[in-house]
Amino acid sequence: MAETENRAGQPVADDGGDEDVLVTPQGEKLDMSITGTMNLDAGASSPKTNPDRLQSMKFAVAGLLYVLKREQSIQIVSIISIVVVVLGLWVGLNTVTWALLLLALGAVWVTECLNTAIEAAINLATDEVHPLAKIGKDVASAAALLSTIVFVLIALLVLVPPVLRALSGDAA
Amino acid sequence: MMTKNDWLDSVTSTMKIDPDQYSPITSTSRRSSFGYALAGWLYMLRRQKNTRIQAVASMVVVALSLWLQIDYGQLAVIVLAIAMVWMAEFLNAAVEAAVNLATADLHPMAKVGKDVAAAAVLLGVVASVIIGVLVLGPPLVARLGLGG
Repeated sequence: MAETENRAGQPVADDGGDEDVLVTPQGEKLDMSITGTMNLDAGASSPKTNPDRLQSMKFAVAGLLYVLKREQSIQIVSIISIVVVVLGLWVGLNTVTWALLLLALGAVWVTECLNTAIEAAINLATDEVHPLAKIGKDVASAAALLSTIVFVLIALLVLVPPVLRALSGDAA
Repeated sequence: MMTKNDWLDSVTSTMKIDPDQYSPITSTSRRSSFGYALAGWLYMLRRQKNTRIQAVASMVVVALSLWLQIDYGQLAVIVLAIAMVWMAEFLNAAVEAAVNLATADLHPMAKVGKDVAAAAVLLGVVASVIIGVLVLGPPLVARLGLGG
């Protein structure tokens, strides 16, 4: 078995064959092939992961309540969501347009929640200032910014024409 | 047996946690949050080759959409499909940074975290390509006169 080093200077086992295997410091072999990941058992590394569906749902609701209470941006997103839905009901959108608008709105909620989750994971990993922590947090919030910009774009694309029509209809 | 009150208690337990108690570095000002988001964007464009390729591909697809004069609703679908890939790519990079920060060692859970985040990107790309073909395919065929 030939020993080479990866970029972090850690020894990497090379079987010499076509099998792609890395060895953890604990001596555990990591199969790097396509089927390698699905053979890993998360329960072996993190005993707190829960398999109960009802329980998972409870945690999800708990997480939603957390972001609603603690994340200022989610509170603004909630208000915008209500405004947009009211506006959509007022001008009477068709099904596909509703789907588009709700999808774009959903993306904002999803990225905000994932942003908060990643931030928590990073804060958990270290409470020191670290370049990787900055990258992780900044890039996650960039995803949230992106989804917000795209939501505004889509809201303009699908809401402005019918709103203008409704307004001019009122004036006529 | 879990009573109704127990359930309510456990559902509301997370929101009672005060993050400031644990993470003094979290930003509270909206302006600086916006700045950090832009900083993250610049990082991706500078350091991730895939993101640069994605930026070019996004511009090509938008230009193609405008050329084909698809309607606003269809343009919205295209924009959403493009954004989905960007979001997945960004969140993937963020998760990767978080995992690298948590441990510098090889670890099975590090592999699971990174691979599953990458799978989200793959999923986003596949869905976007399907949406692109569905929305842009017919008008493109018509415009090129391939329909006969």
